[in-house]
Amino acid sequence: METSDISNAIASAIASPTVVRAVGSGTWLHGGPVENDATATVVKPRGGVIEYTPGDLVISVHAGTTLEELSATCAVSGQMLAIAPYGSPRSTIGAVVATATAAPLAYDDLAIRDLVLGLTVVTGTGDIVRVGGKVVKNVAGFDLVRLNTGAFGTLGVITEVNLRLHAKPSMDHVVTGTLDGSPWDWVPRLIANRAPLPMLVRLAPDEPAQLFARCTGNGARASALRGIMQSYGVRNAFTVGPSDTSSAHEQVPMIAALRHVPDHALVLRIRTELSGGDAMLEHVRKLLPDATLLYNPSRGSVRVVTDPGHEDDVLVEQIETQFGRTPVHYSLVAEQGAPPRHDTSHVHAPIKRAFDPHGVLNRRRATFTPKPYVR
Amino acid sequence: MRDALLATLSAIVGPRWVKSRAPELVAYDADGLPGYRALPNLAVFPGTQSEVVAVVKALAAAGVSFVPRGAGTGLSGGALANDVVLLGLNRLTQILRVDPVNRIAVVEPGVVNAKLSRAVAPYGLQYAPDPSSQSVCTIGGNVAENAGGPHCLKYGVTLNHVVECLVVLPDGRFIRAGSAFGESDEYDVLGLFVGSEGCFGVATEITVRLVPLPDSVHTMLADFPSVNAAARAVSRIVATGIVPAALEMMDNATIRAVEASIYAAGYPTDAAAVLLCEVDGIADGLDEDVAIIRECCMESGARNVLVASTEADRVRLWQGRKKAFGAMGRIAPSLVVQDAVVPRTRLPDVLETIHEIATRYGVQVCNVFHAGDGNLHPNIPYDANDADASARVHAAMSEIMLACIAAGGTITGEHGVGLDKLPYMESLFTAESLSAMCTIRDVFDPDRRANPGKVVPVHSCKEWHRGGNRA
Ligand SMILES: Cc1cc2nc3c(=O)[nH]c(=O)nc-3n(C[C@H](O)[C@H](O)[C@H](O)COP(=O)(O)OP(=O)(O)OC[C@H]3O[C@@H](n4cnc5c(N)ncnc54)[C@H](O)[C@@H]3O)c2cc1C
Ligand SMILES: Cc1cc2nc3c(=O)[nH]c(=O)nc-3n(C[C@H](O)[C@H](O)[C@H](O)COP(=O)(O)OP(=O)(O)OC[C@H]3O[C@@H](n4cnc5c(N)ncnc54)[C@H](O)[C@@H]3O)c2cc1C
Repeated sequence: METSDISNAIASAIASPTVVRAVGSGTWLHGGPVENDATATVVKPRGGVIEYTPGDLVISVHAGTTLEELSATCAVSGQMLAIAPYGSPRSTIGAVVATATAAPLAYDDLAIRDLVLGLTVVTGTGDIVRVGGKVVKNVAGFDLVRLNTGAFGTLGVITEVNLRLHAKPSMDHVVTGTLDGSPWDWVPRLIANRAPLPMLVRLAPDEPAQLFARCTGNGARASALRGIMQSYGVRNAFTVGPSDTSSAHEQVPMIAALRHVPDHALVLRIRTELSGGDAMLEHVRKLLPDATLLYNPSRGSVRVVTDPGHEDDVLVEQIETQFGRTPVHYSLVAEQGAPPRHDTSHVHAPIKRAFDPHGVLNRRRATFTPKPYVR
Repeated sequence: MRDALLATLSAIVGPRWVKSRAPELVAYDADGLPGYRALPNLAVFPGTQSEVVAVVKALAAAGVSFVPRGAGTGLSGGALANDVVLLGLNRLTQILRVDPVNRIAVVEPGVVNAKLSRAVAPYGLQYAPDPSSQSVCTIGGNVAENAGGPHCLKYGVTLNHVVECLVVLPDGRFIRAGSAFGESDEYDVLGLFVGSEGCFGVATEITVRLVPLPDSVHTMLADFPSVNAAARAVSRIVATGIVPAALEMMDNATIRAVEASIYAAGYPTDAAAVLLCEVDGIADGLDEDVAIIRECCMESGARNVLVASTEADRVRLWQGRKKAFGAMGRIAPSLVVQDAVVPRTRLPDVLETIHEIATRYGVQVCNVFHAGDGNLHPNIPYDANDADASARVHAAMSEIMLACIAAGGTITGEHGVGLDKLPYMESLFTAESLSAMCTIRDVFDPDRRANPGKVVPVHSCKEWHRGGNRA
């Protein structure tokens, strides 16, 4: 749908009254009352490139453009969007922005928040709002770009996205190997990392911990980074990413597998201070011996992928009470736009009301109820 | 009314820290924007976070507007307080906590940027954003402006380095925006607050991210016979996939100003433009990067590329750049430091347009800017007391800003809108977009008492239209 169609759809929804639900490729629509509302009007922004000037390393696309299409377009000019989020390459950029989904092995540890320059958003009043710009630095006016990033479509439907791209470095490898011993041994070494080395540890039941690191730069730097990675005690290291300049990591099965979650899995994301990473891994492992843990040492975050037999709020409570360490932040990727667990409601509710006064857009859940990640 | 407020505020912070007499207030009648003066009604300087809260509550109770102020180095007039209360934060200078393992520091808003970096250097860490005013500007001011600096090309702007803020809303309530350890599923209120120019409330405690000091740094100076050639080199360098720590351009007028000053850095005065380029990080691979960058410059037409061989050389090369604004002070008593951004590929033609505009108005433009980001700083030295010169400077700047917008750019990359750039907001954004900005401002400050009249032209707000229509 075009931006103006979406604006009209929202205007009709206000009049009817009914609700509107933004959809990308629909790869992650579980959870949340809006989806279950059979009367919702579905609005699906169109895809396609609007403007791309490789010399500026900036691209403007319609929100329905998939990550696959986006990387294929940029690759022709030796450029890339510096994220590699969990989920499917069929995900749309609009949804990636709306969910601010994190990336396990993003180039230079960048997040989508760092890469969105401007947005066109249709608010809950049907207004078409263009915020930010098309240049890599802009601070003109209040930052509604950041506000809509990660808002799960509750403040507006994103229809156009301006993105900052990066030129591909001459080498871009993902190197993997195993780590011996318990997290007590290797976590402190990983967090003390001083090199620009995005890393991810995969801890599957009954398997040794496996470290992935994205080693980029010119030849000398990429191999030095590989050496640094091995100095953490990594054994049997080998390159899984493309060893030439193509850096099409999406196509590498082992990395695709990292980003994929089995059907009917429950995904929890947990974050603690960097120095609490080892204790947290140990704790979650004891609580959920069958879960697969994906640990990012530079952000102190863990994705816990487990089966949906667990009730997620019970799990969170168990983790919270038994871990007993503060500050720890929990949130559930199992849910769309879970309500804030901390008391900031006196700002959050008015923000929602300001942009969606009729309550027609994706809603935040009113209560914290279990909702497994089921595909 | 004023006397009652004076008494209330004095009771909170002590009489010494409330200024009410004109001679005392004159010290705060301007910030870094020349040609604008505004006398505050009162100025109050709380010494602790709880005093800030008490002051804000007292102002709320009295229904009085206020303008937060850090060091007053802002270049867009954001800290000007015209007949309202100026809330000075420069007594809140404590670095409350440095946590080197978790790589964060918790600071009060009045901490001076460079002081923070010095304080964390012994841990092998730095606070990366480095505005050229870093020796005086405050972290609170940096947060409010989303300040940048030469090294933001690689390291990112203030937003990328602030993880949490304790904010006193204009009604005296607190919010905690962001989370020091959070990957939040809440609205990105921190992202919204950073760069809100004091219009949403006062940052009283700021948690910043620290990054490791690089193991090794190489600094280069390339000199070019034309601005075009320098701009070509910038594009080539960026296209290689190398992300330089900094990539700064200075034109001939700037070079000559620097070389004629006490900050002389040995720049070639006959060059049309120089590029100051730095690469840093782990030592391995930096020599290769230097070689590639040299090649990019030479292929684009550089006459020479100098690589600083000692730390002293490096510091000298940077001194010229960081003190360029000061050096321009020798040319004339006042200096407009403008801030606009254009797509990198448009740099050559926009620079040409700027030159043409300057010639037409008979003013001298010195360009010194963050070329890697396309973030221009066209600066005009002039005499603000000369009405004719001021008018010409003003007209030339307006045309320059509109030319940047026409080229697909924006009116500020790091200095904010403040008061100075209000008139351009309507050229940049649609009425609906500006109205959305008013909407969000109202969430934080429905009475519009925090830094009133800045950032978004009030008549852009829908409610204003409605009110206007009714009247
Ligand atoms: C292993 C795994 C881990 C994941 N981890 C995370 C995580 O940590 N955090 C996280 O947020 N997500 C996570 N995801 C989900 C990820 O966000 C989605 O896979 C992807 O973004 C969905 O793309 P889509 O186009 O299919 O969106 P859809 O499934 O169509 O929509 C997803 C959500 O985005 C909203 N939306 C879609 N398009 C728009 C738009 N244009 N404007 C406004 N709202 C819109 C929808 O209403 C819906 O709420 C994870 C997924 C997997 C498989
Ligand atoms: C020579 C020179 C060079 C400069 N170079 C750069 C540069 O390279 N990059 C760059 O980005 N800027 C630069 N600047 C501009 C300026 O230094 C920055 O904008 C800086 O962030 C302002 O900080 P300050 O403490 O002086 O704030 P002030 O000027 O006092 O205030 C600026 C704004 O912040 C608000 N504010 C201040 N403190 C708070 C707080 N605690 N809470 C809420 N709002 C607050 C004020 O209301 C005002 O709107 C330069 C200025 C000069 C004079």
